[in-house]
Amino acid sequence: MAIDVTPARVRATADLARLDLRDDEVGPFAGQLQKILDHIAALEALDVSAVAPTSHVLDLACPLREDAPAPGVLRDEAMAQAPRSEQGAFVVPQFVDE
Amino acid sequence: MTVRDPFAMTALDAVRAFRARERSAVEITRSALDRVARHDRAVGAFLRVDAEGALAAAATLDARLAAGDAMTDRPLAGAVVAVKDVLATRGLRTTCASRMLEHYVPPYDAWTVARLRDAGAVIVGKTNMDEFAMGSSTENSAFHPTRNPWDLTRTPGGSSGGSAAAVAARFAHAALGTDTGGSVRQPAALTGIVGLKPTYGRVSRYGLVAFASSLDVVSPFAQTVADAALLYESIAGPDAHDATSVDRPVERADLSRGASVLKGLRVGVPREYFGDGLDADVSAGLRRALDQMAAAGAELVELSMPHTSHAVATYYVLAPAEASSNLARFDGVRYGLRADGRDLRSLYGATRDRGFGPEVKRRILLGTFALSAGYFDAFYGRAQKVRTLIARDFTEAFAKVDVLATPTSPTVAFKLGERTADPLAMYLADVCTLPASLVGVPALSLPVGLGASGLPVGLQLIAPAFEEARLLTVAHGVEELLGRLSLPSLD
Repeated sequence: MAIDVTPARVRATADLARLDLRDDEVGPFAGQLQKILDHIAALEALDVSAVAPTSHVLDLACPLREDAPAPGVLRDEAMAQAPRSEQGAFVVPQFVDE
Repeated sequence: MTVRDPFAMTALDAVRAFRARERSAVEITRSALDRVARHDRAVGAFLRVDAEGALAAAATLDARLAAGDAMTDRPLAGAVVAVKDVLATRGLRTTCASRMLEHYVPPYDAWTVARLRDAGAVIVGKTNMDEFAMGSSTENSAFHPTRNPWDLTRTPGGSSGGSAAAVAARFAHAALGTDTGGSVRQPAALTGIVGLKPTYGRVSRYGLVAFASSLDVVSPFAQTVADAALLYESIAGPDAHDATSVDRPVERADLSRGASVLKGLRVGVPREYFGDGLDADVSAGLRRALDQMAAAGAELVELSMPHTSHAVATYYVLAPAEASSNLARFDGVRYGLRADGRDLRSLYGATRDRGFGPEVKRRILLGTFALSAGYFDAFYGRAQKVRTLIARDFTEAFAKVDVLATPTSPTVAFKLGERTADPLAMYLADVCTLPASLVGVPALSLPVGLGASGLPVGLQLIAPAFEEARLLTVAHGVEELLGRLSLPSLD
């Protein structure tokens, strides 16, 4: 699949990732991503129609453990790293209209 | 044995000297701190030196020894270890070399850090790295680059370049790094030391800040294979905190056999790893090492692993895809940097713009694109299938041979700035280490000598999954056969 990495596509992808880009970053990223995606396009030469995907190298069953209480990180300790908190809650800008 | 400079010692030497009361842990730790103070301004291996914590831990060890503790359950007591700044250390800032986590102080220790402390290691500080472990030169650190102790105009490789440089400069006896696509093996090769990536799942990832969760492995650096085995055996094993950690016995390497282990050993030499892009130094160094192994009785088996050349493309879809998902947690709300915004969306966007450097942004963009609607099957889905083909290459190879031998890096250490302008060129140089990462098998880089350039050359040995004991036993044999490198003095 030939991809044309335009500045608009870079901006749209950045928006999906909730990542602001500065204007002077967009052009260089477009050129670099174009080169990288052109290299990745070589995978299209392989016939993988009969190949199962590998999402994980280990043949793992979902491990279960006893549902027993054990000490963990305390709330105050965890909250101490928050940029803004009040009364044991993380503070963010209002996101519901009144 | 009396050794004047504790940093001419290996970790095992230091442990023996401590137990024999020839050196106190405080003395050994002070000499590490002195060496760092003298030379790390030039090398830049550390982001943070924890003199107070290290000396306190050392004093505790000395007191225990004086009180009659034989230290039999503390196999690392006496050794000084550095830790990559991607592993959480309780009460000690852990930044991932990123502005995003510049002020982050973890409330807990990573599993591997706790195991080191339990084993009696003194943790001297946190080492520099490419931001969030994304890079192959340590130049993507938000704070400063690290320089190669062999030649200060060159990089130590990456992303665990600070840990590698710390061991090569003998600031620490050993170090922890993390290897996602070669981030321990490649810097080990470029700095002339040993780096072991264990099997995926052997070592808990609890407290490792995630980059690509299906690939990340906490991995030791050391001056010798015996020291690497000592660290590996201290950190391997199951941990209920990590659902991918495997509960299997951790077999110990047999270090009594020396080079005799090579007799009759079937060593696979895959021709795809010895292509056009190899430096003359690397190709000559590998040839010499393989010839000596053959002379010692190893049977060299030339073979083909036809999907090797697709590993770079496969990895640079899968790893960024996982990274773009993992790094979504850095949103300016619960911890880390926050840039204020009018609303939640602008807070997220501005925080991530200010917190992430260019390589991290590039990989988030690449990964987000590969996972986006309309492209998922063509990129991510296809890469997962090619991963299966690469795994088949290994299954077929290990049906014929005991271990594989390849270069670790196609080049010796490169100059600072040489590859920063071209991200794809930096990625392509990971070609020798990526396949073992994608397949999850254990792999080790071992110095085999210096090239004509005077820079170290690394041999990569690869074993089947969970065969670390075989890998270390063989590597120890090769090390005995070829002799150890003398590390640079820096004076």
